[in-house]
Amino acid sequence: MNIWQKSFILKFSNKNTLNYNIAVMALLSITLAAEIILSIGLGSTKLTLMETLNALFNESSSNAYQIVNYVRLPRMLAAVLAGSSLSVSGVILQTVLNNSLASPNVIGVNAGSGLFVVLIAAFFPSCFYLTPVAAFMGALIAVNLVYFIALKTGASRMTIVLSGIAVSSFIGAITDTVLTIVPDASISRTAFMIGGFSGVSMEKLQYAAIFIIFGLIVSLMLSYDMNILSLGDESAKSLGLNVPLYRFVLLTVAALLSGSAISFSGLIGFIGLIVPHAARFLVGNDNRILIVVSAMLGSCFTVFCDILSRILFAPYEIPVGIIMSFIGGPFFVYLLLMKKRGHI
Amino acid sequence: MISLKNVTAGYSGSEIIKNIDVSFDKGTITSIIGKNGCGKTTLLKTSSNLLKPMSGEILLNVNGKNLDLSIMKNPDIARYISYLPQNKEVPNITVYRLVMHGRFPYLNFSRIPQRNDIKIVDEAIELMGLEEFKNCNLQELSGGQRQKSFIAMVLAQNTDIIFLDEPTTYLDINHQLEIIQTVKNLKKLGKTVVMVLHDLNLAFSCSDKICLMDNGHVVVHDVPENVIKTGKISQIFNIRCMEASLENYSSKHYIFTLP
Repeated sequence: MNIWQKSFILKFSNKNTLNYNIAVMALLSITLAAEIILSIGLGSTKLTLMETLNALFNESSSNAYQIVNYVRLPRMLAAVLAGSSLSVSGVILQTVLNNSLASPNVIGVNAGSGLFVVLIAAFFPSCFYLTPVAAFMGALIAVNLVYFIALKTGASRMTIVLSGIAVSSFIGAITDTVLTIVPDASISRTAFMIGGFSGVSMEKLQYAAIFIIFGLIVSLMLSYDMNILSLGDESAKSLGLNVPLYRFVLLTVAALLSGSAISFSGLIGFIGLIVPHAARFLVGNDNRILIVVSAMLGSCFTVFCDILSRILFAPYEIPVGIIMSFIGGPFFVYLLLMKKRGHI
Repeated sequence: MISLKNVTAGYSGSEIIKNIDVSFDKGTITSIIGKNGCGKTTLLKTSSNLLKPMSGEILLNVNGKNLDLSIMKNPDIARYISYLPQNKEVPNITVYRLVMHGRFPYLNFSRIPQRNDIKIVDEAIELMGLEEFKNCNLQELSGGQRQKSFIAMVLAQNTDIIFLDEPTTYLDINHQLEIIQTVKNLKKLGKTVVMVLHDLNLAFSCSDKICLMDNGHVVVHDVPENVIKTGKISQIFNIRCMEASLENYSSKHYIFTLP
């Protein structure tokens, strides 16, 4: 338990861990709710709280209605869904591969989804509704390829990361080739590589949202089994867990979550790496709690970065991926320093 | 009781243990000894179904019926057999949560422990003398306390047969003896304990039977005195073995030296 947790516990919960976890979740819920309201209200056109609520609940032809329902609401939902799904995907990958460096962008999942999204945009632009499925398939192929290579070469923590880097670069090369030979692909290369939520529509979001909600529910249902898996293969099997089956199912869920998010947000990196670590810093390693807190924290962080991306240089907008790296990079270094000092 | 019939097993197609015929009787302590790389851990893993045999069969005797381990499901096996590996991941969790993991084979789909599970976990923690550490993080404990926590997890699994791979390695003498005492207590509860040990003195002093292995084969499987009499210990380890009698100690002790 780190010093933050200890002081938080003393302040809020009389050393009761359950109360502490509930307090963390309550704080995150309040933060997320506030961010959601700000996300809908803030932007190059500022709306008051009353205007925002009116636009949300009363159909009209006003500008406020158009902005809220066709631009900001889908964008806010996209940020919430991408933040939670990429974070939970990171938690799953780190547990299943028993590697704290694992995350969708490090081990090739993002690259796999990215390639398939680009393939759809380049060769089948009329089938855009298939993008989430294609992204999922790409992520699934990439993660299993990385795991297979790592398994054949020793499956150490380092080989998983190295094979992830190898697979990512190879798939990245294919993606670049496709984007070069099909310059008219219905996708903005830079925006897709950095990641962002501008131009997200409800139509684009609806299929991915179903996959993400399904993935989040399945991850929660398997969270205790993930705790057993983190004991190591031999101990987990000795406790009756079908290790290969669970590992495959969990990798599939991780691929589903990250692939679905990438289908509408592009290659947002980093979040799947830093949010699980930050969530562990807050609530420890119990995956039953960690998954919930990671999902909430991921949403909070992504919505926050998205708001910043819109208001920092308004009316201009910078991609959310850049803001995330600006905030996430130093914060991750801070976490590493805390870990070195034994506070995590 | 668990019996291995003509079992051959190994990794990636290469045979490590060959044509093993051995039975571990109910309520006994058996120590598997042998030189490094002779197949001790492979025998333990195969017996506990962590490694599928290439040939032969493993029969588990439950209430007089012989059950073939190869057709049993993992959770069912986990209610009869527990295995503690030598190299374990040390998760960043409390001792209590680790010990509760021992109840995993008994939890239903909701994975919520019932009153009986909590009672068994509390008993396991008490038996291992870990009450004061139960809310401590496993990674903050000493090697001995950590090993005791893992053994408490195995106790919470509450199986008839317990396989321990080098449970005393890297521990100080006090913790070694504490763990051996726990093993003896398990025997009193009717459990079958099979463990790999490198310390021959410890193995000969606490075991009902010694299983001496060499080059993938079981060379002798007998009571300690008979194993010594065969002279195989001296031959395989290339050492001299002498019996020593100590005043006030009825059990036999042995001194091992270079030839």
